[in-house]
Amino acid sequence: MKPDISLKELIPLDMVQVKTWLSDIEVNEMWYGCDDDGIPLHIGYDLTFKNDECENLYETIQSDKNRKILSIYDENDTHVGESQLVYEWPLLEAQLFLLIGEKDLWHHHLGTAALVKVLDYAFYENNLHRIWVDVPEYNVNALQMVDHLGFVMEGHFRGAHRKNGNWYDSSALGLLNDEYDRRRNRIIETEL
Amino acid sequence: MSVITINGPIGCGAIEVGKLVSANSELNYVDRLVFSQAAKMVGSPVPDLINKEQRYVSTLTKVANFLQDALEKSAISGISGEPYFGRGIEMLPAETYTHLISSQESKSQKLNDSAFIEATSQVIHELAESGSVVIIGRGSNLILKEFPGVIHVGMVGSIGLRVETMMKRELLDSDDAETYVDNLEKARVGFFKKFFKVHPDDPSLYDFMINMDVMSHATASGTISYVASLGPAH
Repeated sequence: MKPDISLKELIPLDMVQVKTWLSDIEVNEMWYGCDDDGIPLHIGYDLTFKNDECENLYETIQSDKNRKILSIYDENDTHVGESQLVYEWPLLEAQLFLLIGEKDLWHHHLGTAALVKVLDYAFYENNLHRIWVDVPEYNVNALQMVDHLGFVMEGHFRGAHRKNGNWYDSSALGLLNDEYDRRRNRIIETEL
Repeated sequence: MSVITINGPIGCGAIEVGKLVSANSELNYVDRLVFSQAAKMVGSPVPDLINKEQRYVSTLTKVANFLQDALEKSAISGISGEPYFGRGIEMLPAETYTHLISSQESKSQKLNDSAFIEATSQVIHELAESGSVVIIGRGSNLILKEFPGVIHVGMVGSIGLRVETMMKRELLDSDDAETYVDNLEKARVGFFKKFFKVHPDDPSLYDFMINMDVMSHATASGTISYVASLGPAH
């Protein structure tokens, strides 16, 4: 049974939720860890914002044409995660980020279902040619997920990813629009 | 510190073997990322570059492409980068930067052959200069022909082996996989002939060849890692 998820436009409250998720060490450890001051890292906005600064930060994010942040909701209309596309419009490509913040929902294939939705959005609504992800070696589940969806290992770099003072290998995996077209139906027909 | 190039027909197992060599010998691994960096240099989407290498173009398609090219325009603006190659456009020589910016306004940006091969060569040379990398395909053995100390590995394999690989990798049935392999092989041969004036399976282009019909990925990668451990081939 595939999870039924939906993507929605970011709202300020979602950013507060993301901040809460990433303050959990178990969640941020699977993502980008913390900076030297122990502040969880988030690709897109600084998590040190105070609640009364949220609206302004939100406006700044929304005005950025090279970045799209989408909130992920489950079948109960509960906010469970976030995805981002960071565009390089001239090349018609984007780097994709995905976070399932509700850790009780990890390993229930929400990430895979969300990734398919985001790829559909990127390839069929944005008409991009290439999506790529940068996955650190410790995030084995993410590597398996993108591999399952047909991402191709384009490069693997040793000690390229720094987290909590240590260096980890990192993999760049890419997916082209024609590859996604070719594989999509077979992928979603197979068991997750 | 080793630089190894692995080239062979699609489906031979260069990708799988390359990853194992990278892990065994503690080297970086670069496959299609060559194109994503080259794409930034020439300002064309990655698929356009891949098409240069991998697409077998029928006469009908050539006509269709010509018409499409005549209609298409692409815009160039600020480009961010992938982490392994720095920021991208601002790292380029001034003349390249100027060329890209001048294209921004209205000029049709067609990916010409010389820009393609120059950008690809530049990326591959930069990778080789880093000193610890396995580079898959892209004519890297020829681009780095004069580069000292690089080990060039060639692969061969039967059509059966390659079809089987592509059935697994691309989730294709046997007939589709055979057509896919056949088209890509024609394109690969055409790519080498067009840009390097050689046939890619000529053994003299490599330091040694591996027959993947008789070697497992593990044995092939072990052999390559062993040769690399002996020191520069040249």
